[in-house]
Amino acid sequence: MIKQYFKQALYQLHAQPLLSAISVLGTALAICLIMVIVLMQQIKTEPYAPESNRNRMLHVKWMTCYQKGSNIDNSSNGPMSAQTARQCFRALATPEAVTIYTIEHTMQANIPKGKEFSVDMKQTDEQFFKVFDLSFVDGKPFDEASSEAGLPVAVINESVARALYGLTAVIGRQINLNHAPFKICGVVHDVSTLANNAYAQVWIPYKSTDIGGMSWYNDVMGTFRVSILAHSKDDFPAIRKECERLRLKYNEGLAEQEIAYRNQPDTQEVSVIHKWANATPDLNAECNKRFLIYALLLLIPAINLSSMTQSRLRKRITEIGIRRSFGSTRGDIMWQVLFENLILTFLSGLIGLIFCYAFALIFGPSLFASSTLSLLNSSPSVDIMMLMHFSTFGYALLFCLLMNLLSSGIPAWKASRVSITDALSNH
Amino acid sequence: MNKILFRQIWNERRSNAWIWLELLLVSVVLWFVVDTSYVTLNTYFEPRGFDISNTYWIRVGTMTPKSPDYIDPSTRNVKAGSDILELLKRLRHFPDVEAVSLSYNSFPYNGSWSGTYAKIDTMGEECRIYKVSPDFLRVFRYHGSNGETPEKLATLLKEGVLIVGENLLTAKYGLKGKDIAGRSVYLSADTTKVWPVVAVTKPVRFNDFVSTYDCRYVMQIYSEASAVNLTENDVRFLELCIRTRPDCPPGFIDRLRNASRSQFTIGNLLFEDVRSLDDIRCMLQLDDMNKLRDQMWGIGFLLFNIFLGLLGTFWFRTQQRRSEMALHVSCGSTRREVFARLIIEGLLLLVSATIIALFIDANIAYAEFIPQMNGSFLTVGRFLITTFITFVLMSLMIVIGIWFPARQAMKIQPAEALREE
Repeated sequence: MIKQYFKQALYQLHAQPLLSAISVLGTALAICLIMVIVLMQQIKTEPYAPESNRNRMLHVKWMTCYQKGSNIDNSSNGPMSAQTARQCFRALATPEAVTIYTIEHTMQANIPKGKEFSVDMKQTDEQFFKVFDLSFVDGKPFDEASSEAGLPVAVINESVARALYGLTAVIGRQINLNHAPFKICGVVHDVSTLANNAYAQVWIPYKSTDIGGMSWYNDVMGTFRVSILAHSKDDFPAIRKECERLRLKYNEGLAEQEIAYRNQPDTQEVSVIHKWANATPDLNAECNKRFLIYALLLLIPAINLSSMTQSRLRKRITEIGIRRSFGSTRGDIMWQVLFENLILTFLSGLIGLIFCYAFALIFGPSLFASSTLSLLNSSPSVDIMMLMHFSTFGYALLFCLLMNLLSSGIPAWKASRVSITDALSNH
Repeated sequence: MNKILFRQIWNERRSNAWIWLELLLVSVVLWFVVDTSYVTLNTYFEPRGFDISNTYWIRVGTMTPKSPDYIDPSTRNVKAGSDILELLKRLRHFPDVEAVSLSYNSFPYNGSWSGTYAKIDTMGEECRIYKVSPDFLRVFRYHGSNGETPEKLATLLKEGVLIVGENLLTAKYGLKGKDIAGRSVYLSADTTKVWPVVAVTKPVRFNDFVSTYDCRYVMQIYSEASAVNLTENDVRFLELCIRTRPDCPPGFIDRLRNASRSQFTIGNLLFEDVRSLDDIRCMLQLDDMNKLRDQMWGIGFLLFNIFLGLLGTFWFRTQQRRSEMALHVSCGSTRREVFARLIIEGLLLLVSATIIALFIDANIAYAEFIPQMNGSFLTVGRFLITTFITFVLMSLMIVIGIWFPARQAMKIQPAEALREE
């Protein structure tokens, strides 16, 4: 029977070339657009190297600081100082690892007597390489002792290594950063700016420079962020609880200020929409908005397709009449129409998905770029592994099924309700 | 003829229902997107109040003791602040440089900002506070409301006075520029110090996506002399902005970088980053530009669907009605009339859907689901403009969608079509 449906669906494609083209195009376009939106979202939240543990991560991008006794509406907002990061987050016992790193900034790099060029920096600690799985081509990350002592050692990416020396085997050689000599201890694969927490071109211990001095409000606010890697997602509540305990303790120790986190630590999903330091993002509103967009992108083409499916069925009304008179039940007819359409929808969905991937790979850099990546010296790069997730295909399948149900549900129901005599005499 | 057309549309209500429903839904959604884009574009094209062509931003950094060139500050008798002043002097002598300024959180398209509360008599308003050296007005070419040139404004900015935007108290109190020039302003909660307004400038916006209505500022001097005492830690918070001469050949950043080692390494200072303001503008506004881009895609998608829907529906319809149209032709209708009939049929459907859509649109606007423009959600002008644009866009798609089937119908040979019957 299923073979019969396939034959019929293919025949229908042939019989009405223009209408088939319109249906396929309409469906493919809708699925393509929806999947582009899904990808735009997933690239920010789904795990891929070197942020393979996004599911287990919590982030604290911003800090809020106000005078003791005042309130959060009259506050200063921005990244935190190294002191705050250490006492409030590095001191956590529950997580697997906690890392402190600076916000995006630039330094001038060169080799002795070489030409200077700008590189994107992250000044961080040894934990960074536990939280993020940067892949080392050569050498290894700096260890805790070097980090705590602020030794001038640097992990650099392949592009910078090549720009400096023309090759990547540069362990033990020198890189000047803002005129200060650093020893290269590791070389890693280039990181896409889309993995923006892990991204940099050069990573050095934050204690090796005077960046810690860029702080204000008695060393409460500064230029640092924190990422926390939990043993598992289930630890999040415990970590939040411990964060709160440390915050209260820290506040007690401060003479003039108090700090607050505005619902942070954020999960990856919330963190990406936490754009401004002085606001708490509303994930629910964001999700509702996304669902509304998906619904509209499905519904509008579905109305089109319904109209066409119905016209097509009207031409086949005698066929339906005959089937019914030979014993097909209403359910059989409905199932037949739905299934025939499903073949068409899957075919178009597949075309849409291929288009979507082609689009994402070709236009990825501009499609996925965002202001959080601003002032960087390299533009976002996209590779196929960043876009391939089981959930992506799951979504595509789900949207195709929904599309099918929406676009042929009513026509199928109507076709199955036609009485046999009407159907046979209609012609 | 119209009466017949109406009756025909009514009689075909079953197949028209789908297309009508689609027109209704698209009309509402399209209006929403058009309206949102209209507000954004309206803001985007407002005058900005500054000019960033040929301007650059330098972030000054300091060397650490790890660098071999580092000079221990305790062995020197000048501070990093005087190095900055020397740097300014040398930059002003650098070829093609027209003006150089120092400031805090003040240049346009700035991600960080400082706020204050400015009050004249009892009328107060939240606003940004710019702390700038007088040349800042020349770098970004601010213009006075009374035609003062940037150079004139630069001479007016002194200790203890303010320059403010003419719209400082317009949104809330309706005061114009001439009402606040020369008045005294209290800043923040400090009621002991009065700041006379020495000049009023054209409104200055924060960036291209914040409207004049929401952009208020007051400007204080940051005198270069007061920088002398800054330490190395302090100077890193300063913004250094440069305007080059209009005839400056391209490649200014490279020339500046190449010269930085030999000419601009003063004390422990160094250039950490040099960017053109055009770059900074692009990057800060990337999210807003992306949103606008997505909205344009949304409009395109909606319109394309209308096109497909109409094409499909009318393709069927012209096939089904071959004999009817043949009859029209044989009874004396010209072929052009047959064509027009089909188009009008589509447009009538749109009109009837639009009437209901307008009602829904107005309710959406009334419920304040759309973005604010100049402090209000629903103004008659804006509503008329955006609904009109929506209607025109949809009509266009309907005409294009029906065009092909209608052309097909025009070619009917009445004799053949009727014989088939």
